Amino acid sequence: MKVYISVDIEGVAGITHWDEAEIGKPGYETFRNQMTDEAAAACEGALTAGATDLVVKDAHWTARNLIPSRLPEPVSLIRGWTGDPLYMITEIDESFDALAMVGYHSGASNGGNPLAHTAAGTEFQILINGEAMSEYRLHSLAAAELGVPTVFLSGDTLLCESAHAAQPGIHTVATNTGKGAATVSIHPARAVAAIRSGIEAALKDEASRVLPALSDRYELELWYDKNEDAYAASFYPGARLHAPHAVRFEADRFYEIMRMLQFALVRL
Amino acid sequence: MKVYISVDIEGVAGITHWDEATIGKPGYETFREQMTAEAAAACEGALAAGATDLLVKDAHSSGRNILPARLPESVHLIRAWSGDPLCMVEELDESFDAVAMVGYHSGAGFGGNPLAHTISGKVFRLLINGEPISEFLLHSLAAAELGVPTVFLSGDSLLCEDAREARPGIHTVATNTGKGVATTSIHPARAVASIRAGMEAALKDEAARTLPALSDRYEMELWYEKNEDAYVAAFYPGASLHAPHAVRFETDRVYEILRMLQFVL
Repeated sequence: MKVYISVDIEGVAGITHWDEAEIGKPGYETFRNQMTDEAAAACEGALTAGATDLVVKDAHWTARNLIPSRLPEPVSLIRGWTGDPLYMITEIDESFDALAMVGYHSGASNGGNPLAHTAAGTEFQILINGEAMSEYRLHSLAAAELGVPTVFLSGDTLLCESAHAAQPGIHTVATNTGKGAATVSIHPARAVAAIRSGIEAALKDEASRVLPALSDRYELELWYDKNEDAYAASFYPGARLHAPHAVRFEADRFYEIMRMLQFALVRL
Repeated sequence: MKVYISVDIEGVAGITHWDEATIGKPGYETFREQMTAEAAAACEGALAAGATDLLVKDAHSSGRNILPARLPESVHLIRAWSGDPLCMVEELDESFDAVAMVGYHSGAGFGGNPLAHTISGKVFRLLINGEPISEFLLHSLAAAELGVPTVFLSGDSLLCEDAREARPGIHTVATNTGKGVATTSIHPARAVASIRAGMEAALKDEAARTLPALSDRYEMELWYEKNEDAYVAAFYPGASLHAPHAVRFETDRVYEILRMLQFVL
């Protein structure tokens, strides 16, 4: 069984401020350790459930946050960014049986987390067929197009609730509840234990393997903080300026949406 | 008569070091003034030749180098970059009668100028249909696709020689000759006077209006300094990784080449 585990930081237990997500800033080491613990727990749960191949993607910012030696030895770890449009699930392919996401967070405009955002600045919004995307939703659709179900998710409570609505079979662990600039979180050790048992249960549960519904047409709308970024992005092949701050792009494959994002976000 | 004047800095008279082309660095103010003086001279030459509409593009780095007040009053000036693929000839369209390029420089891999490069330091070679390409060639092809001839060019002598070979009718003013990291230049005032006269002569000369031959297929090859930049660029729609440091892209329009460059440089 091949399992892909994508790990972010803004949804790990207790994280509350951007400093704590930023290399070199006060508080970062604490939450990079928590991110590593949660990633390691997800790996252990997957191994217990019978995973034979484990790929872990460090999917936050520099992509150099996880402390590699603290992951189980059978793991392959992807650090840095190649530019692959699959982005937070770079190098995933049809051969994987399941995808898990750890430390994920609510999307831009969704609230639910003081660190809510989607891919770029907190004002930047990604709508697909009218739905505001979180990074979870975006990558779970990209994985679904490859036939890979997202079976497990940990992160803030609002994100977990929205995941249940999108994908009733998914297993989740809610770490934090965001209230404005504050969070209420479970204990870090409890989060780690819950993630370990949660991913094990998810991988053993056939019902979690249901793919989210795909569409045969995707209309992407990107709302930029700055009108000049929208203007420049509107020159991407097939894109157009929809409003001074918004660009539209249509595709019949989700991968093309991800490819467009790769180039439209470069300038941000 | 509508004339578009695109102005760069690395080919203005006397410029020799990157500091002189970089805002805030020592020497920059001197050459930003020379860039402004050469741009103003080109405008005056165009007006003397009967230009009624003049659009000037500040086409170097920040796009905020030319001192606006020193240009003739009838000019429209484009500062900074919108992201338009036409890049150094941003907003050029079929309604223009001629393009002029001032302060241009030899391309990456050509030599001829201590500041030789093509658009970005990220690429050390940019080939189209096997030929290394300069910013002059690239933008004059893009203009030709819109039916607009490039009638005048000033910049380093190697670039001017290459341009006259590629485009026998073009009028040029050679400001500098590059030798390794050094330049031999004409006097700044003489460059200004020659640009004014050269521009006027070019716009009065029907032979300068010949368009370069366009191709019906363009194969571009971009050679990046860093393999990781090539890897990312290879994901652009239609592009492919040709070698660890090289990306290929094929198209039938120059505009699509410029669009691609907008996203991968």
